[in-house]
Amino acid sequence: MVDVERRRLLKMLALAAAVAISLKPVIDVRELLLRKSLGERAKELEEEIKKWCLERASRICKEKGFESPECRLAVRKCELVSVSAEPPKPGTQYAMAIDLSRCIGCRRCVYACMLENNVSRNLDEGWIVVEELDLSEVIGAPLKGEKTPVPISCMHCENPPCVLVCPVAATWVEPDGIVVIDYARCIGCRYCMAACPYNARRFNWAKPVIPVWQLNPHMHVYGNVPREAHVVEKCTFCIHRVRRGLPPACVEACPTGARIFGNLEDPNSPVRRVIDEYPCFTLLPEAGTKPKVFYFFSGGVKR
Amino acid sequence: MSVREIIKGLCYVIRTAVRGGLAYWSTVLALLILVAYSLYVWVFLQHAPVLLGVDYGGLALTGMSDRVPWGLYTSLFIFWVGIAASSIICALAVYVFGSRETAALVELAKAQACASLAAAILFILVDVGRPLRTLYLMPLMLNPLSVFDWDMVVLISYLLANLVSLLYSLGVKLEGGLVGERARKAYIALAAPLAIAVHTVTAFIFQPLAARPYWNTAILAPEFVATAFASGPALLALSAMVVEKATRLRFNVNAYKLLVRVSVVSTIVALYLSLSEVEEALLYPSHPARQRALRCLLAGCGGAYLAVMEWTWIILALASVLLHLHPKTRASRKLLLVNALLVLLAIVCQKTLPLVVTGFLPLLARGISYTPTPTEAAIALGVHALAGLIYLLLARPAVLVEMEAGRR
Repeated sequence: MVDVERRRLLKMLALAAAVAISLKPVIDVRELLLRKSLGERAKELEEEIKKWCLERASRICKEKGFESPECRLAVRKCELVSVSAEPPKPGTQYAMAIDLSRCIGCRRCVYACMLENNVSRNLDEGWIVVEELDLSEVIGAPLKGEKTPVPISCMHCENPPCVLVCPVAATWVEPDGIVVIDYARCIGCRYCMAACPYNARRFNWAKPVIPVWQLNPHMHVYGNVPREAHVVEKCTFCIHRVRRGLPPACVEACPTGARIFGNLEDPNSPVRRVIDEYPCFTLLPEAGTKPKVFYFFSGGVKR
Repeated sequence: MSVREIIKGLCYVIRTAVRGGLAYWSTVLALLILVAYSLYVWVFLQHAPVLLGVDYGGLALTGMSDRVPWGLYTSLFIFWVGIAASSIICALAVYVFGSRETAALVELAKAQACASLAAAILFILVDVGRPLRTLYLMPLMLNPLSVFDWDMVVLISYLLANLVSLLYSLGVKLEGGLVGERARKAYIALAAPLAIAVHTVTAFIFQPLAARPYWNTAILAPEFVATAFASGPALLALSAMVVEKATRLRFNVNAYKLLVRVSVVSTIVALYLSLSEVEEALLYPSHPARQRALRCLLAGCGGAYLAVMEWTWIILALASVLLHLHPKTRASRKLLLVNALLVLLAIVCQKTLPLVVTGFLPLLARGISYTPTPTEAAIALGVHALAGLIYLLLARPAVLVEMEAGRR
C-alpha cells in the first residue's frame, strides 16, 4: 500500500519536474522582457561570457600548451571581458560618409570589422561587403563598364524597413540613430533580411566560431557580444566604441582615409563638413529608406 | 452552434482514428515513420545548436544563405496557404449558390483546409531559427506593424473556423440531422472574409518590400487569391477521386465539373495577371530592378530549374485552359481529373520556388543561387506527412458520415 502511494508521489513529482522544465524558457523570457534592466542584463551576460571564454581558453591551453601565445592571450582576453550597456548621448545622430575616390577596395575595413565585432569565422560574409559596382548604376553617369569598389554595410536608415517588419520588435532605431538588434529577442525568421535593400543583415546559420585568443573583450550588449546560433546580426557603427567617443573600427582601419564618421548634429564634426562641402548621395534612394551612410567623390569619378 | 455537437464530432474523430483496417494502419504507420525521420533531422541536425546546444548542425545545412534567406520552406508555406481556399469555395457553392451535388464534398474540403493550414504553419515553425522563442513571443504581438504577426492571426483563425465547423457538422450529421441555416450562415460570414484574408495577408508579407522589386507590386495579392482559388479546388477534385477509389462513396460528376471550372477560371485570371505584370515591366524601359527580376525569372538566374518551373507554369496553365474549352472534357470524369492535375502542377510551378527565390535578386550585387539540400527536402517531406496524417484523421470521419447519410 505504502509502496503504491510512494510510486504515485514519485510519478507526480516527475510530472511536475517535466512541466517546470518545459515552462522554463517561457519564464526566462518574461523576466527578460518585463523585469530586467539593460544594465542587469549586461552584467549577467558578462558573467556568462567570462565563463564560456575561460572554458574555451582552458581547452586551448590544454591543446597548445600553457606557455603558448594563444593560451596566454586567451586567458588575458577572458580577464578583460566587459559588457557595457552604455546608453545613447542626447543630441547625437551618427552618420558616415565614404569617399569613393579614395576607396581602393582593399577590404581592410572588412577585416578590422570582423576582429572588432567578434564576427564568426566559420560563416560566409562579414558585416561589410565591398561590391564592385558599375558606376553608371551608382551615380547614373554614362560611364559604361567602369567598376568601382563600394563598401556596403548597414546604412542605419532613418526609415528602416527591417525595423517595421520585425514581428517581435527585436530591432529598432536608438535615439542616436544606430539601428540595433536585441539578440535575446530575435526569433530568426529573417523577415528583416528580406526587407533590407542593401543586404546588410547577416544570419548565424550555425553556431558562430571565434577563437577566444582573438576575442575583442570590450563589448556592448547590443553590439559585439558573441552571438548565439540562428539570430540576425549586422553593423552597429561599433556601438561599444562610438558611445565612448571613439570612431568605428573600419574608420580607423581604412588606409586611405576614405571613411569619415561623426555626429550629424555637430556642425564641426567631420561628417557634417563633408556633407556640407561635397555633393553626397546615398544608395538606392528610391527605396525610401533615408540612409545615414553617404557616398561622395572627393577627387572626381575617374582616376 | 452548440458545444455539445462539437464535442460529439471530436469524440467521433477520435473514435474513428483508433479504428481501421490494415490499409488504414499501414498508411498511418508509413506517415508516422516519415514524420519521425524528419523530426529527427530537424531536432538533431537542422536545429541542433538551438534545441540541443551542440556545436554542429544548424540552418547552414539548408541551401539558404544571407543572399537568399528564404527558400523551400517559405515557398511551400505560400503554396499550402493557397490550398486552404478549397473549403470556402465548396461552402459558397453549396450554401450560397445552391449547388446540391457539391454538398457531399463540403466536409472533405474543410478537412483539406485544416490540413493545408497546419502544413503552412508548420513550415513557418521549422523555418524560424528560434522556434520556442517564436511560440511565446509572436502571440504577444510586440510589433503590430509587422504583417507576419497578422498573417499568423488570420491563418490560425481560419484554421479554427474550419476545424470547429467541421466537428460541428460531424456532430450534427451523426445524429441524423442536417446542418442548420444559422450554422451555415455563421460559417460563411466568418470563413469567407478569412479565406480572402489568408491569401491577401500572406501576399502582404512580400508585397510591401521595396527591397524586392519582383514582389513589390500591387498585383501580388490578387495573384495569390487567384492561384489559391485555382489550386485549392483542383486538389480537392483529386482527393475526391482518391476517396472514390478507396471507399464506396461516389460523388456527382457535376461536383467535379464545378470544382474544375472554378480552378480553370482562376487559372485564367492568374495568367491574365502574369501577362499584365510582364507587359508593365518588360515592354518599354521601366524600373531596371523589376525588369532584371522578370528577365531573370524567364531566363533562370539562381538556378536553371527556376526557369523550367516558370515556363512549365505558363505552358501547363495554357494547356489546362485549352483542355477545358473542349466540350468532351467537361463531360468526362477522367478528363476533368486530368484537367485538375494540370492546374495543380501549374500552380506548384508558379507559386513555390520561382516566386520566392527570384525575389531575392540583389539590387546592389550580381547573382544569387539557391538549391534545396537533402536536409530541407527531408524536413519538408515530414511536414507533408504530418499534414497528410491530419488530413486522414479529419477526412476519414467526414467520409464515413457521408456514407452513413447516403445509406439512410
